Amino acid sequence: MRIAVASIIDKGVNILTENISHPHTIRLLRKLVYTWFLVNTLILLPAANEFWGENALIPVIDRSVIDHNEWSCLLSFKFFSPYFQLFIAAQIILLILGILCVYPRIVSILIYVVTINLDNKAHVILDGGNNLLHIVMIYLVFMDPTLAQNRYKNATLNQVNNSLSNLGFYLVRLQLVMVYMVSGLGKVSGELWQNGTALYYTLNVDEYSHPVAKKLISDYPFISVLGSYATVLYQVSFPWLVWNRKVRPYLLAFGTFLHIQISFVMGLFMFGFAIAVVYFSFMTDNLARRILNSKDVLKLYYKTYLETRRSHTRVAPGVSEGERDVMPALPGNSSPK
Amino acid sequence: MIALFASIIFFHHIVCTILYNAPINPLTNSYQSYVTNYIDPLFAQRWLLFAPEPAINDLKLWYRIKNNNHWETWLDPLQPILVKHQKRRFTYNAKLLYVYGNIARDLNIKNLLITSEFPCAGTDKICLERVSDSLLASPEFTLAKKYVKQDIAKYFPHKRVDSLQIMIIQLYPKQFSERHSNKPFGYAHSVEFKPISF
Repeated sequence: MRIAVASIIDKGVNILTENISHPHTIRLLRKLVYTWFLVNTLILLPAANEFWGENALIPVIDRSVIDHNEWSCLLSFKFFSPYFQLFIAAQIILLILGILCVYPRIVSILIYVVTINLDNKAHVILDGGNNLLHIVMIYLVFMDPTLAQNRYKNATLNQVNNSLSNLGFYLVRLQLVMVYMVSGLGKVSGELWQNGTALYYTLNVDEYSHPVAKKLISDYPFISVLGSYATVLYQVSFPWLVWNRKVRPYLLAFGTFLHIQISFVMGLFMFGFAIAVVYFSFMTDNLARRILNSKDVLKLYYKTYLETRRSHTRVAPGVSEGERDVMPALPGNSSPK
Repeated sequence: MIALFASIIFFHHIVCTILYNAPINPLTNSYQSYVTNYIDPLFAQRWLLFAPEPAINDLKLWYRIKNNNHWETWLDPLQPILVKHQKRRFTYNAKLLYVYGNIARDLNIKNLLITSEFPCAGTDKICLERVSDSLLASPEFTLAKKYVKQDIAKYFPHKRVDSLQIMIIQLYPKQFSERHSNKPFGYAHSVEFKPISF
Protein backbone atom coordinates (compact mmCIF):
# COMPACT_ATOMS: atom_id res chain seq x y z
CA MET A 1 0.00 0.00 0.00
CA ARG A 2 2.77 2.38 1.04
CA ILE A 3 4.69 1.54 -2.14
CA ALA A 4 1.61 2.20 -4.28
CA VAL A 5 1.06 5.62 -2.69
CA ALA A 6 4.75 6.48 -3.09
CA SER A 7 4.57 5.46 -6.73
CA ILE A 8 1.53 7.68 -7.34
CA ILE A 9 3.24 10.65 -5.64
CA ASP A 10 6.39 10.00 -7.63
CA LYS A 11 4.39 9.93 -10.85
CA GLY A 12 2.61 13.14 -9.90
CA VAL A 13 5.90 14.88 -9.12
CA ASN A 14 7.31 13.80 -12.48
CA ILE A 15 4.24 15.03 -14.38
CA LEU A 16 4.50 18.38 -12.62
CA THR A 17 8.22 19.04 -13.00
CA GLU A 18 9.69 16.95 -15.82
CA ASN A 19 8.12 18.65 -18.82
CA ILE A 20 5.74 21.42 -19.73
CA SER A 21 2.40 19.77 -20.31
CA HIS A 22 0.44 20.76 -23.45
CA PRO A 23 2.90 23.42 -24.70
CA HIS A 24 1.02 23.99 -27.96
CA THR A 25 -2.34 24.18 -26.19
CA ILE A 26 -0.86 26.79 -23.84
CA ARG A 27 0.44 28.84 -26.76
CA LEU A 28 -2.87 28.64 -28.61
CA LEU A 29 -4.87 29.48 -25.48
CA ARG A 30 -2.67 32.50 -24.80
CA LYS A 31 -3.13 33.81 -28.35
CA LEU A 32 -6.90 33.32 -28.20
CA VAL A 33 -7.37 34.92 -24.79
CA TYR A 34 -5.39 38.00 -25.79
CA THR A 35 -7.17 38.12 -29.15
CA TRP A 36 -10.47 38.14 -27.26
CA PHE A 37 -9.33 41.16 -25.22
CA LEU A 38 -8.05 42.89 -28.35
CA VAL A 39 -11.33 42.38 -30.20
CA ASN A 40 -13.25 43.51 -27.12
CA THR A 41 -11.27 46.75 -26.88
CA LEU A 42 -11.49 47.41 -30.62
CA ILE A 43 -15.27 46.96 -30.52
CA LEU A 44 -15.56 49.47 -27.65
CA LEU A 45 -13.05 51.92 -29.11
CA PRO A 46 -15.49 54.05 -31.19
CA ALA A 47 -17.41 54.87 -27.98
CA ALA A 48 -14.35 54.99 -25.70
CA ASN A 49 -15.50 58.22 -24.06
CA GLU A 50 -18.74 56.60 -22.93
CA PHE A 51 -16.86 53.84 -21.14
CA TRP A 52 -13.61 55.35 -19.89
CA GLY A 53 -13.99 59.11 -20.40
CA GLU A 54 -14.10 61.60 -17.55
CA ASN A 55 -17.77 62.35 -18.31
CA ALA A 56 -18.83 58.73 -18.70
CA LEU A 57 -22.14 57.98 -16.99
CA ILE A 58 -20.56 55.30 -14.86
CA PRO A 59 -20.41 55.68 -11.08
CA VAL A 60 -16.96 55.46 -9.52
CA ILE A 61 -16.14 51.95 -8.35
CA ASP A 62 -16.80 51.13 -4.70
CA ARG A 63 -14.42 52.98 -2.34
CA SER A 64 -13.49 49.73 -0.58
CA VAL A 65 -12.19 48.27 -3.86
CA ILE A 66 -10.08 51.38 -4.48
CA ASP A 67 -8.70 51.32 -0.94
CA HIS A 68 -7.68 47.66 -1.15
CA ASN A 69 -6.26 47.71 -4.68
CA GLU A 70 -5.20 51.24 -5.57
CA TRP A 71 -2.92 49.95 -8.33
CA SER A 72 -5.91 48.48 -10.16
CA CYS A 73 -8.09 51.61 -10.01
CA LEU A 74 -5.69 54.25 -11.31
CA LEU A 75 -8.28 55.63 -13.74
CA SER A 76 -10.55 56.45 -10.81
CA PHE A 77 -8.01 59.04 -9.64
CA LYS A 78 -8.22 62.54 -11.08
CA PHE A 79 -4.51 62.51 -11.90
CA PHE A 80 -4.82 59.55 -14.30
CA SER A 81 -8.40 59.80 -15.57
CA PRO A 82 -7.71 62.26 -18.46
CA TYR A 83 -5.12 59.82 -19.85
CA PHE A 84 -7.43 56.88 -20.48
CA GLN A 85 -6.47 56.89 -24.16
CA LEU A 86 -2.89 56.10 -23.15
CA PHE A 87 -4.11 53.08 -21.19
CA ILE A 88 -6.09 51.90 -24.24
CA ALA A 89 -3.10 52.39 -26.55
CA ALA A 90 -0.81 50.57 -24.10
CA GLN A 91 -3.31 47.72 -23.84
CA ILE A 92 -3.56 47.31 -27.62
CA ILE A 93 0.24 47.32 -28.07
CA LEU A 94 0.77 44.92 -25.17
CA LEU A 95 -1.95 42.58 -26.42
CA ILE A 96 -0.29 42.39 -29.82
CA LEU A 97 3.03 41.61 -28.12
CA GLY A 98 1.23 39.06 -25.98
CA ILE A 99 -0.30 37.35 -29.02
CA LEU A 100 3.16 37.22 -30.61
CA CYS A 101 4.54 35.71 -27.36
CA VAL A 102 7.21 38.41 -26.96
CA TYR A 103 8.69 38.38 -23.42
CA PRO A 104 5.69 36.28 -22.40
CA ARG A 105 5.71 36.60 -18.61
CA ILE A 106 6.57 40.29 -18.35
CA VAL A 107 4.08 41.19 -21.07
CA SER A 108 1.39 39.05 -19.39
CA ILE A 109 1.82 40.95 -16.13
CA LEU A 110 1.64 44.31 -17.92
CA ILE A 111 -1.45 43.26 -19.89
CA TYR A 112 -3.13 42.24 -16.66
CA VAL A 113 -2.37 45.54 -14.93
CA VAL A 114 -3.52 47.72 -17.83
CA THR A 115 -6.64 45.64 -18.53
CA ILE A 116 -7.73 45.57 -14.89
CA ASN A 117 -7.36 49.34 -14.70
CA LEU A 118 -9.51 49.87 -17.78
CA ASP A 119 -12.10 47.33 -16.61
CA ASN A 120 -12.34 48.77 -13.11
CA LYS A 121 -13.04 52.18 -14.58
CA ALA A 122 -15.88 50.78 -16.74
CA HIS A 123 -16.91 48.22 -14.12
CA VAL A 124 -20.62 48.23 -15.02
CA ILE A 125 -19.96 46.74 -18.46
CA LEU A 126 -18.28 43.61 -17.14
CA ASP A 127 -19.94 40.21 -17.21
CA GLY A 128 -19.10 36.61 -16.38
CA GLY A 129 -16.90 36.37 -19.48
CA ASN A 130 -14.69 39.22 -18.27
CA ASN A 131 -14.58 37.68 -14.79
CA LEU A 132 -13.44 34.32 -16.14
CA LEU A 133 -10.82 35.78 -18.46
CA HIS A 134 -9.45 38.06 -15.71
CA ILE A 135 -8.68 34.94 -13.71
CA VAL A 136 -7.29 33.13 -16.76
CA MET A 137 -5.03 36.16 -17.38
CA ILE A 138 -3.39 35.58 -13.99
CA TYR A 139 -2.82 31.90 -14.79
CA LEU A 140 -1.34 32.93 -18.16
CA VAL A 141 1.41 34.79 -16.29
CA PHE A 142 2.65 31.42 -15.00
CA MET A 143 2.34 29.52 -18.28
CA ASP A 144 5.34 29.22 -20.58
CA PRO A 145 4.22 29.53 -24.22
CA THR A 146 7.69 29.25 -25.81
CA LEU A 147 7.30 25.58 -26.92
CA ALA A 148 10.88 24.92 -25.76
CA GLN A 149 11.13 22.13 -23.19
CA ASN A 150 13.70 22.63 -20.42
CA ARG A 151 15.09 25.79 -21.96
CA TYR A 152 17.23 26.80 -18.99
CA LYS A 153 20.67 25.38 -18.34
CA ASN A 154 19.92 25.11 -14.64
CA ALA A 155 17.86 21.99 -13.80
CA THR A 156 16.19 23.61 -10.79
CA LEU A 157 15.12 26.58 -12.86
CA ASN A 158 13.63 24.20 -15.41
CA GLN A 159 11.71 22.39 -12.69
CA VAL A 160 10.34 25.66 -11.34
CA ASN A 161 9.38 26.82 -14.82
CA ASN A 162 7.71 23.51 -15.67
CA SER A 163 5.82 23.40 -12.37
CA LEU A 164 4.52 26.96 -12.71
CA SER A 165 3.46 26.40 -16.30
CA ASN A 166 1.69 23.13 -15.54
CA LEU A 167 -0.06 24.54 -12.47
CA GLY A 168 -1.29 27.55 -14.42
CA PHE A 169 -2.57 25.33 -17.20
CA TYR A 170 -4.47 22.89 -14.99
CA LEU A 171 -5.92 25.75 -12.95
CA VAL A 172 -7.53 27.15 -16.11
CA ARG A 173 -9.22 23.81 -16.73
CA LEU A 174 -10.37 23.51 -13.14
CA GLN A 175 -11.65 27.09 -13.14
CA LEU A 176 -13.93 26.35 -16.09
CA VAL A 177 -15.16 23.20 -14.35
CA MET A 178 -15.92 25.36 -11.30
CA VAL A 179 -17.93 27.81 -13.45
CA TYR A 180 -20.19 25.05 -14.75
CA MET A 181 -20.48 23.26 -11.43
CA VAL A 182 -21.68 26.36 -9.55
CA SER A 183 -23.91 27.58 -12.36
CA GLY A 184 -25.35 24.12 -13.14
CA LEU A 185 -26.13 23.20 -9.53
CA GLY A 186 -27.64 26.66 -9.01
CA LYS A 187 -29.99 26.13 -11.94
CA VAL A 188 -31.15 22.71 -10.75
CA SER A 189 -33.01 24.35 -7.86
CA GLY A 190 -34.55 27.08 -10.05
CA GLU A 191 -38.28 26.66 -10.63
CA LEU A 192 -38.23 28.05 -14.19
CA TRP A 193 -35.35 25.75 -15.16
CA GLN A 194 -37.24 22.81 -13.65
CA ASN A 195 -40.47 23.49 -15.54
CA GLY A 196 -38.69 24.23 -18.80
CA THR A 197 -39.79 27.87 -19.20
CA ALA A 198 -36.49 29.55 -18.27
CA LEU A 199 -35.57 30.13 -21.91
CA TYR A 200 -39.03 31.54 -22.67
CA TYR A 201 -38.78 34.16 -19.91
CA THR A 202 -35.16 35.06 -20.68
CA LEU A 203 -35.88 35.56 -24.36
CA ASN A 204 -38.82 37.80 -23.46
CA VAL A 205 -36.56 40.26 -21.68
CA ASP A 206 -35.54 42.88 -24.26
CA GLU A 207 -31.93 43.04 -23.12
CA TYR A 208 -31.36 39.32 -23.74
CA SER A 209 -33.52 38.82 -26.76
CA HIS A 210 -34.15 39.30 -30.43
CA PRO A 211 -37.58 39.86 -32.02
CA VAL A 212 -37.25 36.70 -34.13
CA ALA A 213 -36.22 34.59 -31.13
CA LYS A 214 -39.10 36.05 -29.11
CA LYS A 215 -41.61 34.97 -31.73
CA LEU A 216 -40.07 31.52 -32.22
CA ILE A 217 -40.04 30.72 -28.51
CA SER A 218 -43.71 31.73 -28.20
CA ASP A 219 -44.83 29.76 -31.24
CA TYR A 220 -42.80 26.60 -30.53
CA PRO A 221 -42.78 25.87 -26.78
CA PHE A 222 -40.63 22.76 -27.28
CA ILE A 223 -37.66 25.07 -27.99
CA SER A 224 -37.94 26.51 -24.49
CA VAL A 225 -38.34 23.12 -22.81
CA LEU A 226 -35.57 21.45 -24.81
CA GLY A 227 -33.23 24.44 -24.50
CA SER A 228 -33.76 24.85 -20.74
CA TYR A 229 -33.25 21.16 -19.95
CA ALA A 230 -30.29 20.81 -22.32
CA THR A 231 -28.58 23.82 -20.70
CA VAL A 232 -28.98 22.43 -17.18
CA LEU A 233 -27.97 18.92 -18.22
CA TYR A 234 -24.91 20.24 -20.04
CA GLN A 235 -23.75 22.44 -17.17
CA VAL A 236 -24.25 19.74 -14.54
CA SER A 237 -22.52 17.03 -16.57
CA PHE A 238 -19.62 19.14 -17.89
CA PRO A 239 -17.48 18.93 -14.70
CA TRP A 240 -17.44 15.12 -14.89
CA LEU A 241 -17.69 14.30 -18.59
CA VAL A 242 -15.02 16.74 -19.79
CA TRP A 243 -12.27 14.55 -18.33
CA ASN A 244 -13.35 11.66 -20.57
CA ARG A 245 -11.32 12.07 -23.75
CA LYS A 246 -13.82 10.18 -25.92
CA VAL A 247 -16.80 12.30 -24.88
CA ARG A 248 -14.88 15.59 -24.69
CA PRO A 249 -15.06 16.61 -28.38
CA TYR A 250 -18.84 16.15 -28.49
CA LEU A 251 -19.28 17.93 -25.19
CA LEU A 252 -17.20 20.91 -26.28
CA ALA A 253 -18.94 20.99 -29.67
CA PHE A 254 -22.31 21.25 -27.94
CA GLY A 255 -20.92 23.85 -25.54
CA THR A 256 -19.58 25.92 -28.41
CA PHE A 257 -23.00 25.80 -30.09
CA LEU A 258 -24.65 26.85 -26.82
CA HIS A 259 -22.32 29.79 -26.32
CA ILE A 260 -22.50 30.96 -29.93
CA GLN A 261 -26.28 30.99 -29.44
CA ILE A 262 -25.76 33.11 -26.31
CA SER A 263 -23.61 35.48 -28.37
CA PHE A 264 -25.95 35.96 -31.29
CA VAL A 265 -29.47 35.24 -30.02
CA MET A 266 -29.22 36.60 -26.49
CA GLY A 267 -26.82 39.32 -27.59
CA LEU A 268 -24.18 38.60 -24.94
CA PHE A 269 -21.66 38.68 -27.74
CA MET A 270 -18.31 38.72 -25.97
CA PHE A 271 -19.50 36.56 -23.07
CA GLY A 272 -20.32 33.64 -25.37
CA PHE A 273 -16.93 33.84 -27.03
CA ALA A 274 -15.08 34.20 -23.71
CA ILE A 275 -16.26 30.79 -22.53
CA ALA A 276 -15.63 29.27 -25.97
CA VAL A 277 -12.05 30.59 -25.84
CA VAL A 278 -11.40 28.86 -22.50
CA TYR A 279 -12.65 25.59 -24.04
CA PHE A 280 -9.36 25.55 -25.93
CA SER A 281 -7.60 24.63 -22.68
CA PHE A 282 -9.17 21.18 -23.10
CA MET A 283 -7.78 20.75 -26.59
CA THR A 284 -5.19 18.01 -27.12
CA ASP A 285 -1.66 19.23 -27.67
CA ASN A 286 -1.55 17.50 -31.04
CA LEU A 287 -4.60 19.32 -32.35
CA ALA A 288 -3.34 22.64 -30.97
CA ARG A 289 -0.01 22.04 -32.75
CA ARG A 290 -1.83 21.41 -36.01
CA ILE A 291 -3.86 24.60 -35.62
CA LEU A 292 -0.73 26.63 -34.84
CA ASN A 293 1.08 25.04 -37.79
CA SER A 294 -1.81 25.62 -40.13
CA LYS A 295 -1.30 29.30 -39.48
CA ASP A 296 2.37 28.89 -40.40
CA VAL A 297 1.36 27.03 -43.56
CA LEU A 298 -0.92 29.92 -44.48
CA LYS A 299 1.91 32.37 -43.82
CA LEU A 300 4.22 30.28 -46.01
CA TYR A 301 1.64 30.15 -48.80
CA TYR A 302 1.22 33.91 -48.62
CA LYS A 303 4.99 34.51 -48.64
CA THR A 304 5.46 32.17 -51.61
CA TYR A 305 2.58 33.86 -53.41
CA LEU A 306 4.11 37.31 -52.87
CA GLU A 307 7.56 36.19 -54.01
CA THR A 308 6.15 34.45 -57.06
CA ARG A 309 4.20 37.57 -57.98
CA ARG A 310 7.25 39.75 -57.59
CA SER A 311 9.47 37.46 -59.64
CA HIS A 312 6.78 37.24 -62.34
CA THR A 313 6.61 41.02 -62.48
CA ARG A 314 10.38 41.19 -62.66
CA VAL A 315 10.71 38.92 -65.68
CA ALA A 316 7.49 39.95 -67.33
CA PRO A 317 7.94 40.25 -71.09
CA GLY A 318 7.64 43.65 -72.62
CA VAL A 319 9.08 45.52 -69.66
CA SER A 320 11.57 48.13 -70.76
CA GLU A 321 15.02 48.54 -69.21
CA GLY A 322 14.00 51.87 -67.67
CA GLU A 323 10.94 50.38 -66.03
CA ARG A 324 13.03 47.50 -64.65
CA ASP A 325 15.32 49.96 -62.88
CA VAL A 326 12.50 51.37 -60.75
CA MET A 327 11.27 47.93 -59.60
CA PRO A 328 12.00 47.14 -55.96
CA ALA A 329 14.69 44.53 -55.43
CA LEU A 330 13.70 41.28 -53.72
CA PRO A 331 15.37 40.81 -50.38
CA GLY A 332 18.46 38.66 -50.72
CA ASN A 333 18.76 39.18 -54.47
CA SER A 334 21.34 41.49 -55.97
CA SER A 335 19.78 44.13 -58.15
CA PRO A 336 20.64 43.95 -61.84
CA LYS A 337 23.26 46.37 -62.92
CA MET B 1 10.95 19.71 -3.05
CA ILE B 2 9.87 22.12 -5.80
CA ALA B 3 7.10 19.79 -6.86
CA LEU B 4 5.91 19.41 -3.29
CA PHE B 5 5.82 23.18 -2.78
CA ALA B 6 4.01 23.69 -6.09
CA SER B 7 1.53 20.94 -5.21
CA ILE B 8 0.75 22.55 -1.87
CA ILE B 9 0.07 25.92 -3.54
CA PHE B 10 -2.07 24.23 -6.19
CA PHE B 11 -4.07 22.24 -3.64
CA HIS B 12 -4.53 25.28 -1.39
CA HIS B 13 -5.76 27.40 -4.29
CA ILE B 14 -8.22 24.77 -5.46
CA VAL B 15 -9.63 24.19 -1.98
CA CYS B 16 -10.03 27.94 -1.40
CA THR B 17 -11.76 28.37 -4.77
CA ILE B 18 -14.17 25.52 -3.99
CA LEU B 19 -14.95 26.88 -0.52
CA TYR B 20 -15.39 30.43 -1.91
CA ASN B 21 -17.97 29.17 -4.41
CA ALA B 22 -19.70 26.73 -2.06
CA PRO B 23 -23.19 27.64 -0.81
CA ILE B 24 -23.57 28.80 2.79
CA ASN B 25 -23.22 25.77 5.07
CA PRO B 26 -22.67 25.12 8.81
CA LEU B 27 -18.89 25.48 8.36
CA THR B 28 -19.00 28.73 6.36
CA ASN B 29 -18.24 30.95 9.36
CA SER B 30 -15.11 29.01 10.25
CA TYR B 31 -13.38 29.48 6.90
CA GLN B 32 -15.10 32.44 5.25
CA SER B 33 -12.82 35.19 6.48
CA TYR B 34 -9.59 33.43 5.45
CA VAL B 35 -10.94 32.25 2.09
CA THR B 36 -12.42 35.65 1.21
CA ASN B 37 -9.19 37.45 2.09
CA TYR B 38 -7.26 35.06 -0.14
CA ILE B 39 -9.64 34.94 -3.13
CA ASP B 40 -11.12 38.45 -3.26
CA PRO B 41 -8.10 40.60 -4.21
CA LEU B 42 -7.25 38.75 -7.44
CA PHE B 43 -9.59 35.79 -7.94
CA ALA B 44 -13.02 37.21 -7.01
CA GLN B 45 -15.70 35.29 -8.87
CA ARG B 46 -19.46 34.79 -9.08
CA TRP B 47 -20.84 32.13 -11.39
CA LEU B 48 -24.60 32.21 -11.03
CA LEU B 49 -25.08 32.94 -14.76
CA PHE B 50 -28.91 33.04 -14.80
CA ALA B 51 -29.16 30.74 -11.76
CA PRO B 52 -31.21 29.89 -9.80
CA GLU B 53 -33.64 31.88 -11.96
CA PRO B 54 -32.99 33.76 -15.20
CA ALA B 55 -33.78 37.46 -15.68
CA ILE B 56 -37.56 37.77 -15.78
CA ASN B 57 -38.15 41.48 -16.14
CA ASP B 58 -36.93 44.59 -17.90
CA LEU B 59 -35.98 47.46 -15.64
CA LYS B 60 -36.17 50.69 -17.61
CA LEU B 61 -35.73 54.37 -16.98
CA TRP B 62 -38.28 56.49 -18.84
CA TYR B 63 -38.70 60.22 -18.87
CA ARG B 64 -41.15 62.81 -20.12
CA ILE B 65 -40.79 66.53 -20.74
CA LYS B 66 -43.08 69.44 -20.04
CA ASN B 67 -43.39 71.92 -22.85
CA ASN B 68 -45.76 74.94 -22.80
CA ASN B 69 -47.54 73.62 -19.74
CA HIS B 70 -48.17 70.27 -21.41
CA TRP B 71 -46.62 66.93 -20.44
CA GLU B 72 -45.55 64.93 -23.46
CA THR B 73 -45.54 61.13 -23.69
CA TRP B 74 -43.06 58.94 -21.77
CA LEU B 75 -39.87 58.17 -23.66
CA ASP B 76 -37.47 55.23 -23.35
CA PRO B 77 -33.97 56.63 -24.05
CA LEU B 78 -32.55 53.11 -24.32
CA GLN B 79 -34.84 52.03 -27.15
CA PRO B 80 -32.75 53.33 -30.11
CA ILE B 81 -29.63 51.60 -28.72
CA LEU B 82 -31.56 48.39 -28.13
CA VAL B 83 -32.82 48.38 -31.72
CA LYS B 84 -29.28 48.91 -33.02
CA HIS B 85 -27.99 46.14 -30.75
CA GLN B 86 -30.64 43.71 -31.97
CA LYS B 87 -29.79 44.56 -35.56
CA ARG B 88 -26.04 44.07 -35.17
CA ARG B 89 -24.64 42.14 -32.24
CA PHE B 90 -20.90 42.84 -32.45
CA THR B 91 -20.86 46.55 -31.66
CA TYR B 92 -20.29 48.68 -28.57
CA ASN B 93 -24.07 49.09 -28.22
CA ALA B 94 -24.18 45.83 -26.23
CA LYS B 95 -22.07 47.47 -23.52
CA LEU B 96 -23.82 50.84 -23.79
CA LEU B 97 -26.98 48.99 -22.74
CA TYR B 98 -25.10 47.95 -19.59
CA VAL B 99 -23.95 51.52 -18.88
CA TYR B 100 -27.38 53.13 -19.22
CA GLY B 101 -29.25 50.10 -17.84
CA ASN B 102 -27.12 50.37 -14.73
CA ILE B 103 -28.36 53.93 -14.11
CA ALA B 104 -31.93 52.62 -13.80
CA ARG B 105 -30.80 49.70 -11.64
CA ASP B 106 -28.84 51.91 -9.22
CA LEU B 107 -31.70 54.40 -8.97
CA ASN B 108 -34.14 51.59 -8.23
CA ILE B 109 -31.89 50.21 -5.49
CA LYS B 110 -31.50 53.69 -3.98
CA ASN B 111 -35.24 54.22 -4.06
CA LEU B 112 -35.89 50.90 -2.30
CA LEU B 113 -33.23 51.74 0.27
CA ILE B 114 -34.64 55.18 1.05
CA THR B 115 -38.26 54.01 1.21
CA SER B 116 -37.25 51.25 3.61
CA GLU B 117 -35.31 53.78 5.73
CA PHE B 118 -38.32 56.13 5.95
CA PRO B 119 -41.47 53.99 6.00
CA CYS B 120 -44.20 56.59 5.40
CA ALA B 121 -47.92 56.14 5.64
CA GLY B 122 -49.69 56.95 2.36
CA THR B 123 -51.18 60.19 3.74
CA ASP B 124 -48.11 61.48 5.60
CA LYS B 125 -47.19 64.26 3.18
CA ILE B 126 -44.23 65.55 5.19
CA CYS B 127 -42.67 62.10 5.36
CA LEU B 128 -43.25 61.49 1.64
CA GLU B 129 -41.72 64.87 0.85
CA ARG B 130 -38.65 63.98 2.92
CA VAL B 131 -38.26 60.67 1.05
CA SER B 132 -38.60 62.43 -2.28
CA ASP B 133 -36.09 65.15 -1.37
CA SER B 134 -33.47 62.74 -0.15
CA LEU B 135 -33.84 60.69 -3.34
CA LEU B 136 -33.57 63.78 -5.55
CA ALA B 137 -30.39 64.76 -3.72
CA SER B 138 -28.79 61.32 -4.15
CA PRO B 139 -25.86 60.76 -6.57
CA GLU B 140 -27.95 58.06 -8.31
CA PHE B 141 -30.68 60.56 -9.19
CA THR B 142 -28.10 63.17 -10.23
CA LEU B 143 -26.58 60.64 -12.64
CA ALA B 144 -30.04 59.76 -14.01
CA LYS B 145 -30.77 63.45 -14.53
CA LYS B 146 -27.48 63.92 -16.37
CA TYR B 147 -28.30 60.94 -18.59
CA VAL B 148 -31.76 62.27 -19.43
CA LYS B 149 -30.44 65.78 -20.15
CA GLN B 150 -27.84 64.30 -22.51
CA ASP B 151 -30.57 62.35 -24.27
CA ILE B 152 -32.74 65.45 -24.66
CA ALA B 153 -29.79 67.43 -26.02
CA LYS B 154 -29.11 64.63 -28.52
CA TYR B 155 -32.64 63.97 -29.79
CA PHE B 156 -34.44 67.30 -29.19
CA PRO B 157 -31.67 69.91 -29.46
CA HIS B 158 -34.00 72.79 -30.34
CA LYS B 159 -36.96 71.92 -28.14
CA ARG B 160 -37.91 74.18 -25.26
CA VAL B 161 -38.15 72.10 -22.09
CA ASP B 162 -39.64 73.60 -18.92
CA SER B 163 -39.40 70.57 -16.66
CA LEU B 164 -38.84 66.87 -16.81
CA GLN B 165 -39.97 63.84 -14.89
CA ILE B 166 -38.20 60.51 -14.48
CA MET B 167 -39.82 57.15 -13.91
CA ILE B 168 -38.49 53.67 -13.26
CA ILE B 169 -40.60 50.93 -14.75
CA GLN B 170 -40.30 47.19 -14.37
CA LEU B 171 -41.92 45.30 -17.26
CA TYR B 172 -42.69 41.62 -16.72
CA PRO B 173 -43.18 39.43 -19.80
CA LYS B 174 -46.48 37.70 -20.44
CA GLN B 175 -46.91 34.47 -18.49
CA PHE B 176 -46.08 31.38 -20.53
CA SER B 177 -49.78 30.39 -20.55
CA GLU B 178 -50.72 33.84 -21.92
CA ARG B 179 -48.03 33.98 -24.59
CA HIS B 180 -50.49 34.16 -27.50
CA SER B 181 -52.56 37.00 -25.99
CA ASN B 182 -52.42 40.51 -27.45
CA LYS B 183 -51.09 42.10 -24.27
CA PRO B 184 -47.72 43.82 -24.89
CA PHE B 185 -46.41 42.55 -21.53
CA GLY B 186 -47.58 40.67 -18.46
CA TYR B 187 -47.68 43.47 -15.93
CA ALA B 188 -45.75 46.58 -15.03
CA HIS B 189 -44.60 48.17 -11.81
CA SER B 190 -43.59 51.81 -11.98
CA VAL B 191 -42.23 54.49 -9.66
CA GLU B 192 -42.63 58.10 -10.80
CA PHE B 193 -40.31 60.65 -9.26
CA LYS B 194 -41.12 64.29 -8.54
CA PRO B 195 -40.87 66.55 -11.64
CA ILE B 196 -37.80 68.75 -11.69
CA SER B 197 -37.11 71.97 -13.53
CA PHE B 198 -34.88 71.69 -16.57
